[in-house]
Amino acid sequence: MLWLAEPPLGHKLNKAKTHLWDDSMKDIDYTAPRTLAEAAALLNDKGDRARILAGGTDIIVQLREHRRDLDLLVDVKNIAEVNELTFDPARGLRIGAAVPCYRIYENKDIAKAYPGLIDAVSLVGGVQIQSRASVGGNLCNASPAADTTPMLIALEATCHIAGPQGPRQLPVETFCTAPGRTALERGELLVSIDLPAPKPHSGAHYLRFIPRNEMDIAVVGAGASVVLDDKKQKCLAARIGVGAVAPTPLLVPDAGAALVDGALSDALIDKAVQAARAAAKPISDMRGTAEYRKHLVGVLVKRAVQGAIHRAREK
Amino acid sequence: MTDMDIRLTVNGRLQHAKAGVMRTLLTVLREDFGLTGTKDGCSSGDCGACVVVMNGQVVNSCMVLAAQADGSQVTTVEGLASNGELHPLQRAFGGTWAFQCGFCTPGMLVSCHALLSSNDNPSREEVLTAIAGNFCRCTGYQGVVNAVQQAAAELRSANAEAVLQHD
Amino acid sequence: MIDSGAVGRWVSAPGAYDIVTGKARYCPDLDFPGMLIGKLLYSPHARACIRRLDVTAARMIPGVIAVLTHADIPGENSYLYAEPDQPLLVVDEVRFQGDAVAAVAAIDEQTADAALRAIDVEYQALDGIFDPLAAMQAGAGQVVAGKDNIMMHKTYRTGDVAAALASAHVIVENTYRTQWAEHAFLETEGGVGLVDADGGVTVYSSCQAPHRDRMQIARALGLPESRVRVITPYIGGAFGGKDEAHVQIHAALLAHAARRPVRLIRGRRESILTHVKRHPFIVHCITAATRDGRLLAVKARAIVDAGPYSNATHEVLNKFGEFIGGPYTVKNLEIEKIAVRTNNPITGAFRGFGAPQAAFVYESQMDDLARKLGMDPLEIRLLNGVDTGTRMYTGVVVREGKAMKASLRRAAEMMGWQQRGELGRQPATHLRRGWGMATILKGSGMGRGLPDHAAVLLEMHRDGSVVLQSGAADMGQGIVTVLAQLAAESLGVEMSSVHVVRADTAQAPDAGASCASRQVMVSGNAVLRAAVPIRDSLLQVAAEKTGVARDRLVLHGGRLHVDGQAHDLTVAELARRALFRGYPLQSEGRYELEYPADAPEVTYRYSQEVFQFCTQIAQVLVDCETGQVAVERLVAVHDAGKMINPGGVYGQIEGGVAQGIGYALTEELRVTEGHTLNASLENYVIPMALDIPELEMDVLEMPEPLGAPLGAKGIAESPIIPTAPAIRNAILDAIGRPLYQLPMTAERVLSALDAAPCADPA
Repeated sequence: MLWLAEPPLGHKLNKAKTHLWDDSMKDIDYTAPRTLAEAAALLNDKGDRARILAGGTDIIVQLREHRRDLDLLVDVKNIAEVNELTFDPARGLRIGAAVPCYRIYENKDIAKAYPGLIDAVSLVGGVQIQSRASVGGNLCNASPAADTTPMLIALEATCHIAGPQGPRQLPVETFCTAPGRTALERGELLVSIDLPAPKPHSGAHYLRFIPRNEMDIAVVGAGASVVLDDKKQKCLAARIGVGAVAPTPLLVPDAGAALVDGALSDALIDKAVQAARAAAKPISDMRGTAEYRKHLVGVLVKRAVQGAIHRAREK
Repeated sequence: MTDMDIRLTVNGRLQHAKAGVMRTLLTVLREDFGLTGTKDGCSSGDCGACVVVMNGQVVNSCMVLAAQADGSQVTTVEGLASNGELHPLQRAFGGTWAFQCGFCTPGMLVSCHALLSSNDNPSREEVLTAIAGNFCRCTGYQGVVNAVQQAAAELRSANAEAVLQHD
Repeated sequence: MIDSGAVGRWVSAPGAYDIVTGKARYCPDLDFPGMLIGKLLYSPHARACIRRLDVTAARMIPGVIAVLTHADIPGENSYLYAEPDQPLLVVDEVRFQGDAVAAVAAIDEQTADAALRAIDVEYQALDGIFDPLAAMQAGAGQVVAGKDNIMMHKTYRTGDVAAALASAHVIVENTYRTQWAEHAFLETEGGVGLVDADGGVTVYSSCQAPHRDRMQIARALGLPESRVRVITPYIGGAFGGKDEAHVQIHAALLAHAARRPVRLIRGRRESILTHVKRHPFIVHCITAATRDGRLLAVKARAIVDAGPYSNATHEVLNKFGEFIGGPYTVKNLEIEKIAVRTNNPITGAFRGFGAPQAAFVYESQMDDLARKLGMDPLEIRLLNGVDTGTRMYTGVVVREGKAMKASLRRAAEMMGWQQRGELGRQPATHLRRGWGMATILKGSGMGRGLPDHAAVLLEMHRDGSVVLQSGAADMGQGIVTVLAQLAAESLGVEMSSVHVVRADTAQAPDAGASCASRQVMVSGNAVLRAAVPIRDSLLQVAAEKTGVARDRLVLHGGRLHVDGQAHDLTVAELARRALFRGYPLQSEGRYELEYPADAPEVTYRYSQEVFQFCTQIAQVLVDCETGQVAVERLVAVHDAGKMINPGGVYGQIEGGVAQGIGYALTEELRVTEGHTLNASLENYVIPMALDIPELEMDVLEMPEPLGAPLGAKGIAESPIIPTAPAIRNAILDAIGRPLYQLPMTAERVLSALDAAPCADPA
C-alpha cells in the first residue's frame, strides 16, 4: 500500500518473533460474533491486538507481509447491521461497513441516485476484489489513497460507530487521522456509513489518476459533489474531497466555498482548483513526486467538478 | 490455538479441512483438496491466477481466509467441465490461443465463466472488464476475448435449440 | 512437403486439454511422498560482510531436515552461465539483495520459516557501490575484491566515423536512459529435487535450458552429469528470466542432503528481488546523415549497470552493439560497450537481449533526424533500409531482407499512414494525437561461432502413433506445438497421433536453450530430418504392398495417398508392416545452423545472420494536463520466415507488444541503494487487459535460406523490440517534444511538456 514501504528481503529475519512474507503465517485467533455488542467486547478486551475482518482484501495481505501484527481477527460476517444495505429516496443510503462494493453498484436504484459513489466503488481493484472489498474496510484501512473516501467526503457521509460507550457518529472527513489510523477508540467498530438523500439538481463525480486503466492505487483521487439552483447556472452547495495528497483523505472546504461564489464559470472552477492545490500536502514516492501530485490534484478537481456539474444538469 | 473445522462445497462435493486461521482458501484448495488447477501467482490479489467463484462471486482465493469461506459454495477450474465434457469456453480457449504458458488460464477461465453466467453476449469491453484483474504476461487478452465471444455464441445457439425443442 | 495438413493452420496446443482443465502440473503443483519444503535465507543488506554464520540452532529444530551453507556444497559453489562468478550460497560477502546465504529443507513451510529465523548470521554492513558512473572512476572501491569494476569494455569500429561526421549535413546527438525491467513470468522460479536410489538426482525444473541445468546441478553436487536428470514440467513463462539457473540447483542440493524430495518455489517478492533484470543502459549516440537523409555514421557509447556478477552481461552488450545501427545501411560505425559492476540487482537475459534498448536509441534517432531534415519518418526509413544482399556494418550479408521494407509499407498501409492527420490531432483542448513508427531487426540463433544445434528422437509405433523426444523447453512459447505439427506433417499423420514428451534429459538429446528465437529453426529442422528415414520405411512398405512407384505415394492425414487419391492403407497399417519387416521406425534428427565458412568479412563477433524484421506503428493520445499516454491503435507487421503455427505467432506478437507497452510507459524497477522498492505486482506496474488496444497484426512469410529447409525464423523476441520507440515517436508527433528516457511515465511526459500548454501543431 501507499506509504508503507516494502522492507528488504532479509529485513525481518534478524528479529525474533517476526515472520516471513510468505503464506505461512503465525497463528492468530479468529471469531465470528453475532452481535455488535459481542464484537465491541472482543475489541475492547484485545485493544489494538484485535481487528475487524470484513472482506479481508487489505488485512490478509498486510498480515502475510508482516505489515500488521495481531492476535485476533473478528469476522463480522454474521452481524446484521454491518451487512445492511438500504436505500430510501427520502432518507438516503445506509451502507453497512462490511458490504462489498459489488452489492452497491449492482443495485440499480443506488446506482441511479449516487453515480459519484459508483465511480468510486467500481475503481476498487478488479471485479474479483470488488466481490470482497467493502467501503467500510476501505475507510478503516485508512490509506491516504483509498478510492472511496474522497467521494464519501464529498457526499457528506456520516460514520456510525458502535462501542463500549454506546453508539456515536462522526463526519467521514474526521474518521481517518493518519495513514493506517482512525478515530475509532478502543472497543469501537464502524457499523455503517450513511449518505444523505441526493438533493434536487445535484451531481457528483469521482476521478482518480493511475498509470494504467485498472487495478492500481491512486496517485491522486478527487471527488466532487454539487447542488445547483433551479436554473442550473449557480452552485448552491459544493463539497470537494481529495485523496493521496496528504496523510489522510481531505475535505477541502475552500474549494467547495469557491464554487458557490457566483455564476458557474471556468474562472470559478479554477478558484476551486487553486484551493485544492493549496490544501494538498503530498509526499514523493514511487508513484509520483510531490510536485506532480500537486499538479494532478488541480487537474482532477477541475475534471471532477465539471463532471459533477454535468451530471447535475443532465438530471 | 486449535485448527478450525472448515466445510466447503467445492465443485459440488462437500469437503472439509482443518485450517489455522491464516490459511487461505487457496492453500486449502491446493494442499488439502489437491485442486492444484488454481494457481498462486502473487499471494497479494494482484494477478488473478487464484480466481475461483465463491457463493456466486468471483474472488481471489489468496485473499479469502479458509475460515471466511466456511460453509460456502466454491467453483474452481476443475469444476467447469461436466461429466468429462469440456465447457464450450474451455474448448474455445484452446482453439483461439487464449493462452501460452497456461498459468493464468484457470483464473482467467473462472472469471470468464462467471461473466457468461450473467451475460450471454458480452462485448469486448465487458470481457476485458471481467478479466481486468487477471494478469497474462505471455499473450495478452485478444485470444481470451475471442474465446469468450465464441463460447457465448455457441451457448446462445444451444439455448435457442433447447427452447425450440421444448416448444 | 510442408504445405498442407497441420503446418500453417490454427491448431490447438497438445497441452490445451490439461491447461483448460487445471490438470497441467507446474513445479508448485508437484507433490511426492515425504516431500520437504525448501527455502533460502537472504541478507537484509545489499552489501555486507558475513562475520558469523551459525546454523546449529536451525538444525536442531524438529522437522528441519537439512540446512546448508556454502560449506555444505559438495561441488562447485557457483552458477555457470558464461562465467562462474555468482555463488549459489554466499561465502563471506553479500554483494546484492538477492544473494542467498543459506538453504533449508523442512517438513512444511512454517518449519522452514522457523529454520530460517533460527540461523544466526552476523552481518557487517558495507557501503555499497550503486552508481555505475561513479563505480567507473578511480578510487571508487571494488564491488568484487580483486576485480575491476569495469567488467567489460570493448569498442567495435568499421569505416571512418570521424571523416563521415565531418562531412555530414545533419547530426543528431542525444543521451538515452533505460530502466531495469522485470520479466514477471506468472509462475515464479521453482524446482523439485528428488534423490534416486543410486544416489543420483532428478530435478523438475522451471527453466529454459534443461541440459545446461543438468550441467550446473552436476557440478554443484560433484556428480557426473550421467547421474543427474532434469525434467521440465509445465512452465509458466520465462522470457529469458529462466535462461539462467535459479533455485533448481538449490532444490537438488537440499534433496541430496536430505535424501528426500524437496520443493523450492520462490515467492513473488523473492522472485523480483533475486533474478536477473533487463539491463539499464545509458547510451550516448551520434547519428549523422546527408542532406537528402542518407545515413553516414553512427557513433555510440553504452554504459550498463551489470550488478555484481556477469550473468549474461557480455552477451547482452554484444547483441546491443550488433544491432545499434538498426536495419539500415550504415558504413561507418563505432560502438563502445562498457559494463560496470555495482551492488545493484543482477542483470541478464530478457526477451530481445539488448536489442530493445538499442532500438529505443536508433529508432528515436531516426525520428529526430527526420524532423531535422523535414522528412517523413517512413521515407527516411525506406531510404536507408537494408534489403536482401545488403552488407551490414558487422560484415554480415543479409540473405533474406525483403521484409524490412515490405513490413514498413504494409504497416503504413494498415495504419493509414498517409491519411493519419485526418482523424484529428486535437480531439479536445487538452488532448493531442500522434503517430509514430519503429522498424527493427533482431537476429535468431546463437550467432556465428557459437554452438547452435539441436537433436530430436522420433519414433513411430505399430499403431501409427508417434512419440517425439525433444530437449527444447516449452515455457509457453509453443515449441511443443510446432514440433508436433512438423512431426505430424512429415509423417503424414494427424497431430493428435503425435505425443511430444516435455523435455527430459534422460530421454531427449540436447536441443540447447529455448532462447534467441532459435528453437523453431533448429529443433524444427531436426524434426524434419528425423522424419525422413521413418517416412522412407513407410513408403517402402507401401510401394511393396501396392506395387506403385514410390514417387506416386504420399502419406497424409494418417492414410496413404496414391496420385493424390486416398488409399485403403493407413499409416498404422504401414507401420505394423514396416516393423514386421524390420524397417526402422525410429530415428534421431540433428540440425545445426551452418554458417558459410567463407565469410571472413564478418568482423563482428558472434554475429547472428538470420534476421526477424518487423515494423510497428502506434497511434497515441496524450493528455497534456496529466501527461498520460493512451495507445489507441497499434499495427504490427512481422516476418516469420515461414509460419508453422499461426495461433502461436499471433500470440507471440500480441504478448510481445503488451510487454513493449509496459516497457515504454510504466514498467520500471525502482531501486534505491541496492534495494528494490516495488517488488510486487501491485507496485511494478504492468499493463493489464484494459490497457492494451486491439492489435492490428499481419505476418509476412519470407523463407530464410540459412534455416532451410524449414525457412522459419522464430518470432519470440522481435515483437517487444519496436513497441517502445514507436510509442516514443508517436508521443513526439503528438506533442512536438522528444523523450530520451524509459519508461515514458505520465510524469516524464508532463515534464517534457514543461507544464506549458501545447502549441498547435504546425
